Amino acid sequence: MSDQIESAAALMVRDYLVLAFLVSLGALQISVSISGIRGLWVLPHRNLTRAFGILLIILGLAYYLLSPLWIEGPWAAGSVVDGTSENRIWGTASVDEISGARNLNDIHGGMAGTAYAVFFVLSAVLTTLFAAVIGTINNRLFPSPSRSEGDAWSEAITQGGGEPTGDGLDALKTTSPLTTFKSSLHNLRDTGANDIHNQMQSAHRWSIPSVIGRMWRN
Amino acid sequence: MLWINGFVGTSPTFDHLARIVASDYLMPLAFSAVIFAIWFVGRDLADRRRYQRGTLLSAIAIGIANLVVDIIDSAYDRQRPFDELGDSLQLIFYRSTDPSFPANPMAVVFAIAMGVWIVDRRIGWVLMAAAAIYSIMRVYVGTFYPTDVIGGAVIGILAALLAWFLFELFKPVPEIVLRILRGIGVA
Repeated sequence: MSDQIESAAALMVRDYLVLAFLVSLGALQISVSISGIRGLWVLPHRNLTRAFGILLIILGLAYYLLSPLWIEGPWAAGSVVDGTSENRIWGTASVDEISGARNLNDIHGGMAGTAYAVFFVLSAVLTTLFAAVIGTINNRLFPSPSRSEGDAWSEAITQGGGEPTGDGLDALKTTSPLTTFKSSLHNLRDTGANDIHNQMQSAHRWSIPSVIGRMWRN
Repeated sequence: MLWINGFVGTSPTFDHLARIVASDYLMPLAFSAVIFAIWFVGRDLADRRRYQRGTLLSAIAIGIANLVVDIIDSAYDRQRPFDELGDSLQLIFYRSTDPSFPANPMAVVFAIAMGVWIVDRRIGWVLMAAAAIYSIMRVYVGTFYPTDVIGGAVIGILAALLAWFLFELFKPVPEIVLRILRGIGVA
């Protein structure tokens, strides 16, 4: 019984990671296509990137919801017509059970709330790294994107070879993730201490860091 | 409670939909995806920084809300409706074993909705509406009392306000965190 629960947990984690990866990558692609952060686009065109993001989300949900039909697992049973819900033996789910098949308590192999949160954060990090790698490859393969889009990337190339115009995500509008990382780190070394000092100066009198700073100086 | 749950069985299609919407994975994942996505939006640096504050705010609010729910759970063990109401309730969800009040999933989604609302009213209202639908569905499938989800929502909203207050109290720490993250190219 405990072996079965362990297998169930492994299955749930695997499937949730697939779902979370696809959904977070989809959300990222939609978001960066809106804000024009070309360095994280998986595809070289804005509209394609956005459509791809929507497709990834649909694919992720379809896989997660429908896979109990052909993958054997500890799927929850019970009919909505009878108003019942129960745990069942290992097997595939029927079409009538599919909406509730993934509704498993954590003591029966489902995932706890904390696990959902941890695996989503993991997926979000993996997604960003994945998009950064693909973005770097894209930058090499498509160094001169369509100017008809009129975004910062095209403007930067027109003005002088795609040199970074800022740092952080802003720089990703015009350069690849690898170049952005180097220039951002360079900027942080050059101006970071000054920026932090300015932030401390602009903090209101009763903010805790200001109070600690005053006590330290006195 | 029984009035809302009494509609179970009226429309099998709606019941299937309710089991999916009320699940542990769908709404929390959608809300998480929103706070992840807004990290990357914004027309310029100032605009993006505002949204990124929203992501940080929501993340801290989730932590506070979970802590408050855990403290209440350890002091007050309210039974689930399916344990108390028996056969008069039609349960189309799994039998949760943790205390019913306050509803932890509602605390989390309302914490996110309020955290986003503070930085963007339009997206915030959409998330509030989605969180309200999630709450109603949880009552509909028989896993929470209405007062459980109301309690969870209040905790979530207050947690986000507390997180915002902490942001102001510890200013400029959030800005410094964002500056450092910008220095490694991720903010």
